[in-house]
Amino acid sequence: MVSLPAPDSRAPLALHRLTGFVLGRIGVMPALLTVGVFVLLPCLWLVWLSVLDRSGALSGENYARLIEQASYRRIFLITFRVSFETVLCCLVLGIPFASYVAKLPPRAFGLVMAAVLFPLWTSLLVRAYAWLVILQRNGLLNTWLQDWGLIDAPLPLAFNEFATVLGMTHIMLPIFLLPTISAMRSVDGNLLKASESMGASGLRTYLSVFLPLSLSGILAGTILVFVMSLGFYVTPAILGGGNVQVISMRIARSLSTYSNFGASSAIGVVLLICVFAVLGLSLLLRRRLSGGKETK
Amino acid sequence: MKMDTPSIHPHPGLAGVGKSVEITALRKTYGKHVVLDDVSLTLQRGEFLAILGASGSGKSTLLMALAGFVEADSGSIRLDGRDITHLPANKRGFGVMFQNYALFPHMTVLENILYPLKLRRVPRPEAVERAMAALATVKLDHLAARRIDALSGGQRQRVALARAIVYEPEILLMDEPLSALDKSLREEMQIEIRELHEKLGITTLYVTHDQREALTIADRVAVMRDGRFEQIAPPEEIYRRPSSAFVAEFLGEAILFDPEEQAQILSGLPAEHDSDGPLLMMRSEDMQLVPWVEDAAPVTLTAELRDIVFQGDSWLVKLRLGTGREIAIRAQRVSSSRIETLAPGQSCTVYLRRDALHYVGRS
Repeated sequence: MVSLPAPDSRAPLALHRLTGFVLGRIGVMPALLTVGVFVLLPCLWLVWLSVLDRSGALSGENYARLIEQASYRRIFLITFRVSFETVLCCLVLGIPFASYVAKLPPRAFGLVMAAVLFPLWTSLLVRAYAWLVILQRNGLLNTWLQDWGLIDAPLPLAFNEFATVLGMTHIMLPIFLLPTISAMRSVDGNLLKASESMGASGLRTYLSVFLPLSLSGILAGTILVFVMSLGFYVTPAILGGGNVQVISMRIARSLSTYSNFGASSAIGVVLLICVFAVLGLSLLLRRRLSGGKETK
Repeated sequence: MKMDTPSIHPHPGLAGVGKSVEITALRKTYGKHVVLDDVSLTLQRGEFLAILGASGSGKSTLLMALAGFVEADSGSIRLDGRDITHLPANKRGFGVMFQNYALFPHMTVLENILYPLKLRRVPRPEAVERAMAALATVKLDHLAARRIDALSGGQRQRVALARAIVYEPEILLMDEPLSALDKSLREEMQIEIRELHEKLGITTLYVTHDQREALTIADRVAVMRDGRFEQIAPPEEIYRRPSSAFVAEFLGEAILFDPEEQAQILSGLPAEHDSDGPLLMMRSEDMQLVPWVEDAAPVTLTAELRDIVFQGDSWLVKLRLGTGREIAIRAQRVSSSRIETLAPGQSCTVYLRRDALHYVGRS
């Protein structure tokens, strides 16, 4: 999770304090410079490009188009919907799995974690095509279902939102699991015993003690998956087969087909703002979680 | 060695409040390691029993078996005659205090204490009233709205205690509840827990590795070793009349003399035992450098003084016996006229209190 250094609220900083600040952080300068040059500058450049029209004059036309044209709104809607569905799938599949894995003894835990992390080493492209092999019209699944006589005609499994969300969930699940399992594993087992000793059933203990204490990890995983899903390109392109238009695909098309930097920059900036909004919201939520109950 | 359970001294006026617990031949093994070696124990109604043992002696396992978190291989547990050996932990209705308090960090103090009442579907107004009463019992009612992480160690311990008693359990199990506190706070809490027990009369099993704590707090002390009980007796008895050398040395400072050494260095005491007979045990505070006034015929030994250190309530006197062994005693009294003349290397007479002489089996 991104955490910014706490700004000194009693600004302005005296000059010697500023020098002290800089001198004290010489060691992190190379990293800061790299981030500045390769992340911050391009972002600012992106913003700059987005407010220029084709002739190079300052203009709001790129943003006006985003608002006026319904197709853009639809693309944003689809992107958010697909990301949301991916998050939902990760939650539904991931929470029970993580709860189980977190309680495993060390050796079994190590094995399962290796299995969880293993897919991260395979290429996105390969995994998308693998799903295609399974899901397409005369793919494995349809063939089997027909052989067993369960269906007469092949089901439309590939090249739609279902396939896209399936593929994205497959990719994002390990990323959801990592912070979730880590939070669940750090829940003190004595708390669960204490709950049971007071008369709580296993389910009650899980819901009132285990889950609330794992919430920070679940939230981190959720935000991570959602934000990363917003920028997916390869998986929707292959498994959506052109039927699932997401933001990144629109940006790519603007660039490759129309080489319109202004238009694609504007989409990028809006996406960036959306991501920041999501992060800000999650930060607020986390703060509520950790300090909301304090009354003194 | 196995001891028969001696007669019980439950607190007067308390019998009948808590329930009795009967543990019979409880056995638990992990692989080849025997953690509980056919342990039997009876807790009378309202009794406060402390289990004392080193780490790995099986005391915590026994407590967890009683709480329902460890399934024993064999043996049985009965609560007022009812078999609860296989009853799950959440059906036992015991109060359990864990070593690290196990307070829920995502709840306030009050919510922590309300938790067991909510599980019992106590209506909210009544639950709050009872929770506040429990908090008042541990003198923390002013902190009800605090979050757990804003509490000190001592306060957490009190909250855990309030949470364990708020639903009026018939049995209270405590797993080294004071081990994380500093010494003065620990002693204060020992007295408070003792008083609380007298007030509530809950049958209590208290596990500790601190011998002083066990002696202070309990009606009876059970010394555990390698998965079995060495001795179960009231505090004074187990301290003054330990049944084995192990118990003698585990509780307080014991000086043991084998029959040969007795014959060699002790005077005033007829030799009663063969050379492989029981050991004579003396507490270090039952030896001093002037005669005991109540002893007409003194038992003495002569030793070389190595060092003498004033410690306020006593002198720590280091001695070398005639056999070459070095011992340390806590003399309550040293002849004050001779104190300046006592110097290392000097020979001196040590008086053993006659009624403190006690023989223990070898172990």
